[in-house]
Amino acid sequence: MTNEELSDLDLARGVSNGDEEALKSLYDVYADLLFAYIKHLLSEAPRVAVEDIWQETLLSTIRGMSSFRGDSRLFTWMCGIAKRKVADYRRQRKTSINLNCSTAMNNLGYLIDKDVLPEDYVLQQATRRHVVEVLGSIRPKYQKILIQRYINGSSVEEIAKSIGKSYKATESLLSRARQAFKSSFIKLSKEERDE
Amino acid sequence: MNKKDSILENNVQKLLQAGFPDSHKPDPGLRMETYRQLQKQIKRHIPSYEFSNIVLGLLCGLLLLLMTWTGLIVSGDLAKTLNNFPILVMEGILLLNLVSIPISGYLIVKRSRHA
Repeated sequence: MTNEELSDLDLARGVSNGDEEALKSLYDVYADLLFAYIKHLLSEAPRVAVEDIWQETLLSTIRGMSSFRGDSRLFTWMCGIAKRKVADYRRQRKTSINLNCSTAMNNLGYLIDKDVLPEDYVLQQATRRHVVEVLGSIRPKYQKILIQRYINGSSVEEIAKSIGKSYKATESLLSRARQAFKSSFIKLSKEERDE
Repeated sequence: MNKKDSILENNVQKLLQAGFPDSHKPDPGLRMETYRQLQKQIKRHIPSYEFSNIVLGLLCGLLLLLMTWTGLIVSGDLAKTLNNFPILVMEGILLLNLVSIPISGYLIVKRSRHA
């Protein structure tokens, strides 16, 4: 299995069957995002606690992979395991987490292509966690190019060179990636609001 | 790029930089060590085999049939049954299956909780 665009179910089956290529794909796409997700959930906890929970979550993911049925996105499923581990950690320390943000702030997702988002909204823990969930829900090639461009700060020319495409093709891919991010962001915002 | 695309790009950049900063990524050493642990884990893992519902249904049906049949034989003539080796073997297998049901159930629940 070497196709980087394996579906979540194919990836899960590959890992369940001991396929190392599938494990590598899963790790490359989701491991760092999972770390960020847990770090947002445990923003005030020591880093070593985040690292432990991250490792435990990944191990539980691998062990329980055969039970993944594709009813949700794979990353969403992994986040579910992470939330349970975080809840156990909090229970041991008798603290609680608030997974919700204020309703007023939560309704701003639809503004993503209409107006500049307020800083308060962008910096909220819930929004930042939401961004990680969105990244985990879009296609890996979109995820990769968005990270290269807007987090690593690579130019379009540099990205085009690294992926072996023309400047125009890369710009087009970047545009599709932004649209995918926007759609998923608005969709997940609505789902969270409706919960 | 039109104004809408420009706003979108600006917002996507802000969101990504807030949501996925370097401080929220694992250290490279830890990342590599964790990957190695996962590699060991999948090597140890025995793949599960899916039973179709039809096969499961047939196996349960066969078990019930054998139970009923041996029950009828035993209730008919106990002394003779105990001297009949094939029937004793069949009863032994049935007993083993019956005993393994709660043990398997416990293990399944325990493993799914652990995950």
